[in-house]
Amino acid sequence: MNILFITFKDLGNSLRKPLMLAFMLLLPLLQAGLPYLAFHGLSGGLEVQTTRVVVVNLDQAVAAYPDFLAGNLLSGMLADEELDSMLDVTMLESESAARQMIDADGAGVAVIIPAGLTASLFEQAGHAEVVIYHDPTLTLGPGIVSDVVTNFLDGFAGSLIAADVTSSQLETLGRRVSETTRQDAMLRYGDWAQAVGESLSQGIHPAIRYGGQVAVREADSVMRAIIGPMMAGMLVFGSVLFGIQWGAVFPVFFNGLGLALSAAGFGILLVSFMRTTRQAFLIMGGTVILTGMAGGTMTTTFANLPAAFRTLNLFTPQGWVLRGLTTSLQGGTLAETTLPALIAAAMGLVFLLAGWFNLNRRYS
Amino acid sequence: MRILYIAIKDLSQILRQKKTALFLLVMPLLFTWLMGVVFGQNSNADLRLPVGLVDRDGGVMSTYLSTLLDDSRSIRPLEVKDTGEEDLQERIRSQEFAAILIVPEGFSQRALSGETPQLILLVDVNTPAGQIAERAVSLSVTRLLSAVQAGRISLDLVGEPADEPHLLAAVEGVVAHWLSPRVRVAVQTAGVTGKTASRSGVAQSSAGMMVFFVTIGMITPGYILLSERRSRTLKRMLSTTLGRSEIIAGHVLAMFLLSFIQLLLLTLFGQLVLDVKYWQEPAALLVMLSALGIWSASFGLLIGVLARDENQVILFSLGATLVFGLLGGTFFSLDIVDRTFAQIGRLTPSAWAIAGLQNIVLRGLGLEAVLLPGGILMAFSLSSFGLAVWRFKSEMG
Repeated sequence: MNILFITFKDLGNSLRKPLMLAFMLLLPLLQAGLPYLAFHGLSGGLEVQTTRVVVVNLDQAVAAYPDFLAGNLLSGMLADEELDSMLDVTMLESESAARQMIDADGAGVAVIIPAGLTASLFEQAGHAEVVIYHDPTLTLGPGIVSDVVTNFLDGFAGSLIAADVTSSQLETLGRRVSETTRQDAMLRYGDWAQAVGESLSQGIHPAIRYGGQVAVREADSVMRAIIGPMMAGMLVFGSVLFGIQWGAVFPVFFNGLGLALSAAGFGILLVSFMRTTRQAFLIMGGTVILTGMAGGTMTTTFANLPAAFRTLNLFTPQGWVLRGLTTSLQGGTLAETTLPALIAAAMGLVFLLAGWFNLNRRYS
Repeated sequence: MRILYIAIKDLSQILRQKKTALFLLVMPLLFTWLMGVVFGQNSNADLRLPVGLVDRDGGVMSTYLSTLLDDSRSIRPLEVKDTGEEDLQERIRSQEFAAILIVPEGFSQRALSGETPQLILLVDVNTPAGQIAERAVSLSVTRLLSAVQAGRISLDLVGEPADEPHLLAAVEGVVAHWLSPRVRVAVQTAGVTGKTASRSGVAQSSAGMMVFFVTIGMITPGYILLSERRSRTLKRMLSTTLGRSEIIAGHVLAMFLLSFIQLLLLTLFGQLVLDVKYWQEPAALLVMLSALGIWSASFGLLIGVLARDENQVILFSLGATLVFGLLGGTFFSLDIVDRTFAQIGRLTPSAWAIAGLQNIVLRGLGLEAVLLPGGILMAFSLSSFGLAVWRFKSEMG
């Protein structure tokens, strides 16, 4: 009964103070809400930022086809209205000026179309390399530009390959390779590539179908805070504010319970080391942030995390709870989601015992 | 001189506590190292995203597909045992693979007979890794289809039958060409000319962590000022010949020195352990560290003046840390986030601080390139300082 009285006293103390409520609700919501807005947009959907692109088209026509310039097609595609919202394209005359602009943070990406791009399509051994030179702080913009340019060039590259393979087969058979045959191969390949391109532009790959369910992951960042008894409330907040589908009821309940137990145990352990209020922040804040980070709560959106880091996650209660809730979000089974919850709860129990032992030692 | 005494008093008060050292130094170093591990990894390691390849076909076309996937700049194929779709999905959930591509039985035969065979792609397209993997797989599969198409075209033009042996020989030739196409894209990252360019991920995270810890460190000066006010030490100091401006200057100097030393140590750690080239432009770096230190001190002063108790110091400091940290791009680069979010984020002092540091460690720029971010940080500092002084004066009469 005494335990209950202490519990009620603590809860009453906490809930009476607006500041405590701010700690328990406002800060976790800020921590969850800001990354959500960062990756889901302030107006209901992620709006990709416009990348400043400079295009230097040095391509030159060949004598046989004075009106055809592949470089013009590429620069026209990059400057096309369809890509207007993503790419802000400026044409420049000089490669060095474009490189200087990127170096000085005057633009994000430079596309340098070489002088021999068109020539490489008509010369039997011609080579050309379109250079994408980008600011080192950018990732998404250069990726988009690289995709557009690669898709464009693959059409030409495929045509050239069709012509080259045809030529080498004819040569193997000791037959003459005529320019007409090469062009025929290129044109026929071009027709096929155009059809595939149209399908891809509609988001359909002719040879790929998507298997299984596409998992819901948008709420990963919401799981960042260890917020103890307020967890259930936060789960509800998450559902209401961010429209999160947390998954089936029992996995979420067990993981919420595991989270609350591990947070309570962890909290008692940390409190057992404190001597002043000031230390409360240093120890509590510092350790929770550090273990949260080691548990992977701040890196949920990063791709290609090393395996060692994923193993490190599992040495912290946050790592186990994160795993359980993520599995639940992605529709994992009860068994898959309950094991992490159990481990987190067991860790909480160990922390609780250690904290109790430490407090006993200090105050006995 | 009296300003110095106050500063020394503050510093000795802070440094007397062993746990402060943990908070001011050990934790930032640990975090920076941890983020370095996450982002940097071994520079010689294959950093491409792992994509599982389940080969139920075992034919020659799936081998070619693997070859084309391996040629990708962003993904690396890894052969995976077929343990059923459920289990494979789980391996994507656990982030072991960015995607898994299943090559169904009879794939090679169907591809060579002129049909469009269907591959099964398991991917979580809501993740950045999934999106990158999906694009790369799509490109490689298109190239494989094109190999069959180009092979057929060439056989037709040469007048050879498009039977399996002939077609396979032609496809082999086309795949070899795809590994080194005559027209291609070369991606070059700008950066330091004639100097070692810092590895982008480590450099970005190291700069972000520095700004984060300077922001979170504002709590310490906030506490000192608050405790002086509450213990009436401040009133007693004001009853001496010490002027208000001297008291404030002394506190700000202590806060600045604390942040500055913390930043110096973090840059040295970054330079020596993480290979982030902070010190390639010493003058530019010192400008940025000074501006960042002054901003942290001014904002810490403002918190110390505004807060009425310890809880408020923590709340204001943590709130500011979260808002400045998350909006300013200390944890994730602002270039990958929503447009409006990024526009707002770029207005924060933390974003300017990161931009200035990136100019040094990533773009390899010098003093000129940090004058604007440094100047803007100083403007933020002046505003915070002005507000703090105004509040201090009105409170102390």
